Amino acid sequence: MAEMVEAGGRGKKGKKSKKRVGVRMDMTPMVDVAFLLLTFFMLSTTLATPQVMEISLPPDSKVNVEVAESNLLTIRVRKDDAVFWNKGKDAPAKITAAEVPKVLEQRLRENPKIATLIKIDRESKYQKLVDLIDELNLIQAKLGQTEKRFSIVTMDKDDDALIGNL
Amino acid sequence: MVDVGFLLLTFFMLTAKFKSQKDNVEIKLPVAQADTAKLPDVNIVVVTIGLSGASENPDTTIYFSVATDKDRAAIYKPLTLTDPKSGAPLDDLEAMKIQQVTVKKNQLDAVVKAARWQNQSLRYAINADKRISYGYIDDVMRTLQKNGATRFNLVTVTQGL
Repeated sequence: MAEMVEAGGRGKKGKKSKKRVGVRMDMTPMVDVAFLLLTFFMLSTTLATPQVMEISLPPDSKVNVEVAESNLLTIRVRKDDAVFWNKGKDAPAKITAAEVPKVLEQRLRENPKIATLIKIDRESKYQKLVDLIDELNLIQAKLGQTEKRFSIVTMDKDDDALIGNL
Repeated sequence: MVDVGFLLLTFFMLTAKFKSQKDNVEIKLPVAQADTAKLPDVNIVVVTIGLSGASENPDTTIYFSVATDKDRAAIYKPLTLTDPKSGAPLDDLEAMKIQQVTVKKNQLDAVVKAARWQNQSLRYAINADKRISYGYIDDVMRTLQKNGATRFNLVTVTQGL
C-alpha cells in the first residue's frame, strides 16, 4: 500500500546531500470510492427531478366560453375508463385507448382551431386524464401548434345518459 | 483527473437534493411523454394527494407544502397547528419550520385562500398519485380555480426513467 521512496535528484546542488525519505501512498481504492460516489450523486440528481404539465382553467367555471360547434371536440371518459369522442353535437363514438391518438391527430390536423373538451368521470383514474393531456400535447407538438386549447370538466348526468349504454 | 473527479463529486454532493424522507406516503406519479417543463423549486405550493394505509382499502390524504419559508406561517394559520406532544398551538416561528402539513378536505379552501392573500406570485402544482380517482383532483382543481389560481401544474414523471 504505502512504500518508502528515496528521493533522487534533490539536494544534489545543496551543500550537504541530506537523505530525504518520501512516502508514496497507493490511492487507487480511495479514487475508486470517490468515483463510485460521483456516479451515485450524478445519477440521483438527474433522476429525481419531476416534470410538470401546465394546465390553465378559465377564472370562473360559471362563465361560458363560446366555442363554435364545429370547433369543439369532446372526449368523454367513463367510469370504466372507456373513451368516447364526438365533434360538435354528433353522437359519441366509443374508441379504444389505442385509437385515441389517431382520432385526436386527425381532428387537430383537419381543424387547427379545434378546442378539446375533456369530460371525465369522477371515479375514473387520474392517469387517464394525464394520458389524454399528454396525447394532446404530443400531437400539438407534432403538428407545430403551440396554443393550448383544452379544458377539463367533470361528467354530469346528461353525459352519463348519453354514453351510459353504449 | 482525480482532482477533477473530486471537484465534480463535491459539486454533485452539494447540489443533490433528495426526496424528503418525512413523507409517509408513496406517490406513484402519472407517466407522461410530452416534453414538459421542470418543477420549479421557489415560490411554489405543492398540493400532494396520496394514498396511505393498507393497499386494499387505501385512504386518500391531502398534503400541502409551501417552498418559501417566510410565507409558511401565514398560510398555515387557518389550520391552527398544534404541537404533537403538548397539544399547544404553534407560534409563527415554529410553524415556519414545518414544510408539509396534512389538510382536511374542508380546510383546503381556507389554506389556498390564505396562500393567495399572502403571496400573489406563488405557483401551484398538484402532485397526485396516478391510482386515485379523478374526483379528488377535481376537488383540488376547483378549489384553486375558485381562488383565482387558474394556472397550475400537474406533476408527472417522464416515461423511460
